[in-house]
Parts: sequence; structure tokens; C-alpha cells
Amino acid sequence: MTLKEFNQAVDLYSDGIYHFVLKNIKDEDKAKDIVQDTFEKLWKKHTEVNYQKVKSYLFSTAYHTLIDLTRREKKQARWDEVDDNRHSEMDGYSDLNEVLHKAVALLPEDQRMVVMMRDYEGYSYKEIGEIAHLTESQVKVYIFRARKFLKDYIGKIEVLV
Amino acid sequence: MINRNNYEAYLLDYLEKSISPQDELLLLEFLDNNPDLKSDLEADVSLSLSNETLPKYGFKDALRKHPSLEYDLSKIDYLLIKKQEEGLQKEEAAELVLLEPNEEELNKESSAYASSRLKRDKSIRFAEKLKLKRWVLNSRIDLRTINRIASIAVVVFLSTVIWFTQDKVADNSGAILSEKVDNFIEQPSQLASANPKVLNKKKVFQRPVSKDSLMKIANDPMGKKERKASTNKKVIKIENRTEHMPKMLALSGVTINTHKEINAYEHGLNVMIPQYMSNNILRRELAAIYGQLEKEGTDSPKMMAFLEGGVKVLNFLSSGSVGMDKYYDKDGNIVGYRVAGSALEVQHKAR
Repeated sequence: MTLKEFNQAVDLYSDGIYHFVLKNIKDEDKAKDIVQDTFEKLWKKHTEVNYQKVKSYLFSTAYHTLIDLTRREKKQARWDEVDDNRHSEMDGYSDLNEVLHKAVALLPEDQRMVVMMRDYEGYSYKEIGEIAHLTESQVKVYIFRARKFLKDYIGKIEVLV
Repeated sequence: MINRNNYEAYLLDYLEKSISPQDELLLLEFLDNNPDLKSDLEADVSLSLSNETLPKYGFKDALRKHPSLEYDLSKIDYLLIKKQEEGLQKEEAAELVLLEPNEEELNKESSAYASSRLKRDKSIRFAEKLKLKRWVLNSRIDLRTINRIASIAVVVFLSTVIWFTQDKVADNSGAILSEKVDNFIEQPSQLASANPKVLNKKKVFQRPVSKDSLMKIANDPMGKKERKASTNKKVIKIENRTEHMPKMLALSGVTINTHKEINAYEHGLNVMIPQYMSNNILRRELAAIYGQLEKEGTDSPKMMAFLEGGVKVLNFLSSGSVGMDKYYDKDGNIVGYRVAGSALEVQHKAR
């Protein structure tokens, strides 16, 4: 991968990675650090990485950095614990989206990650498996179970409303 | 041999037309001899069991495992999710209709699953892309080249600094510390313009060597008498050395060279170590020589030879740090001498 391609990768994928990381940890500073760290790792190996697979490489790096961080901190961020320094949703979000994101935050870590990669980036089961070092069938199971949980959660909230 | 016990085997081969000519002749001959068995030649060997006659096993469906089990989901949930994620095959779509005949309910469930899809928040953008990007000055010079050039520049710069520092250090040989002491005593205002690194360090005030001190060392080389006196007298009055320093310098005839700058490392190597030798080793030797001269007089050729020998020994020990000048009268007799070390200079007139 050339320097020019590296900069193209910054333009194309930094938003997506930042979005993905931020939605997981809900801490803007940490999310920025992870994005910078991810691209720094890519730069160190940019001569070895094929540009065709750079998106997968970036998401894989960010994913594992994220996993390390969350496991190190031994906690999962919850939307109801968001403080002023943390990320908050924009006003344009509908009620359904707010409920949905609350539900996503309640998902187990693996399920949450794969669902996000699936919905935000449109990755296939196989691609998600390569990024997250999971088998295709594992990815599929995580996604199906997550869907069921999200659907049930939304349904319960609607009933309550 | 064909007999009534084995003729069926021959007969079956005959009917299936797989019998050999010899066996066929034997079989026909045997049937002629046994006419009651000839009717077997008309047996129908084309009869076989058909699949239709097999009983149907109706529990296959019950034995099969539904894929939904792998996901811990009900069949309908599995099919609805699969429909959303990757689409259904014909059999699966039919199965879904069978499971939920009510189309309205089916659509409602489908839309519920569709709403579980996360939508990307496009307002979230990484604002620090410029920090991530790498730049080049032009297409021919990349970062590696720049790094190499920078490295070379640093090496050249350091080499230059070391080169000039060495030149200055070469000029700095001599009693540099004594010069600073001199400045400290007589020209305190000059301290402000001195090297700040040197100023920040605590100065070691080295008392200049006087004739008296040399005699003291000569009389008591091991300092035993002085130690004994100090133990008897517990309270020692410390004089203000700086007040007496110019006077002492004048009395002892010690002159101090002047110099400008000090390099700490070179100072330690070139000045402090020789000075230490001068103070602790050479000084005693000088004192011994001086004491001997005092006793016997400098006009003695023997003692002058002894003095010269002592200077040579000192120079051997201190790499030529001690010099000796002799002064002669018109008749060629020695009238005085001058012994100069790194921090010590002694002039003496012959008696």
C-alpha cells in the first residue's frame, strides 16, 4: 500500500472506524485514541498490507484494540451512565433509535460487535468472522440471537409505552 | 455332477443364459432322465422386488433437526430473521407460511425484525483526519528520505559540536579551577558572565599552596601531629579564607593562570584528576623536595640534582605537568629556581 493509498484509507474508513468504536465505548477521547492507534499500526505495516484488504485490516485492528480495552477495564459502558465527557446521541434520533441503542448496549460484547459490523458496515458473515477471528457459523449465531433480543426489547418497550 | 440336490443352480444359470455349453448339455441330459423336473424350465426369473413394495418410514421429519435449534430460536423466529438477513429458499418460505398462516401477523413480525437493524449515525465523523495522514514534500522525496537526511544532519551537527569542543578543551588545560577561584575572590561581578553550567555547580575552594604549608607537610607528611592536635582541641575556629586569600597568594608566590570557559567532562579529566594528584601526591613530593632544600640549601649541586630528579619523577607521574626553570648568575652559578605545577608555582632564590 502506498502513502497515497494510506491517505485514501484515512478519508474512506476513519469515520466508520470512529463510529464503530464510539458506539461501543461511548467515550470520544478513547475512541479517537483507538482510531489513531489503529492507523498508526497500519502505517507501520502499510508496505505489507494490500490496499484491497485495508478496510478489513483496520476494522480488525480497531476491534481487537477495543476488545482489549473493554476487557482491561472490566466493564461495559451503559448509556444511562454516560457523563458529560461521553458521547451523547444527536437530537435527530427518533425514540425508536434511542430504544434500539439502549438495547444494543445491553447485548453481550461479541453479539454487539458483530451486529454493529453487520449493520453499520454491511459486512458478510465471512468478513466479520475474519475480522473478529470467529467462524462463519459463530457469527451467524451471534447475529441471529442479537436480532431476537433486539426485537423482543423493542417490543416490550412499545408495549410499555 | 448334476443330481436332484444341485440341479437348481444349473437351472438358474440356464434360465439367466449364463450357463456354459458343457453344463447346458449336462442339464438337458439330467432333465431328460428326470422328466418330472422338466416343468422347472418354464419358471419366471424376471420377478424382482420394487421400491413401491417397501414400507414407507414416516418419522424422518421427526428425526431431522431444525436449524433453528442451533440458534436457540423458535422456527418462526429463525425463519423471519433469516428472511431479513439472507433471504429464504422456497421450502423455507413455504414452511414460514405454514407456521404462520396469518399474513398480517407475519408482516408485523417481519417489520419488528426489520426495525432491529442499526442505522449508522452519519453525523459522527472523525474530525482529526489530518493528524492521521502522512505527507511528502514532493513526489520524489518521501518520509524515509527526509528521515535519512535529518539523521545525517544530526550526526554532522554532533560531530561539529564535538570537534569544536575538543579545540576548546585543548585550550583549557591548566589551572582552570584556580582561575574561577580567583574570579570569585577578586571579581565577583564577573560571575554573572561566566558559564552558567559552571556557576550552578558548587565551587570547591582550593586553598593555594604556601611555603608554610609545604613545610608543614614536609615536617609532618602523614599529618599525625595535626590530627593529634585536632583531637585535643574540639572546637576549631574557621577563618574566613576569602579575606586572607589574596595575601596568602602574594606571600606564597603562587600565580594563577586565567582562562575563559570550562567543559565539565574535560575539566574533570584534564584538571581535577591532575589537580588531585598534585594536591595529594605531587604536593607531598614537592614538599619533601622543598623541605630538603630548606635544610641543605639550593646552592648544593647535589640537592639541585635531587630537585631535578624529583621534578622528573613528578612529570612521569603527572604527564609533564611540572616545569622547572633555573636561574644563573654571570659566573654560571645557580641563583634561583622556579618549579611550576598545574596548581602550584614556587620561586626561590638561592641563599
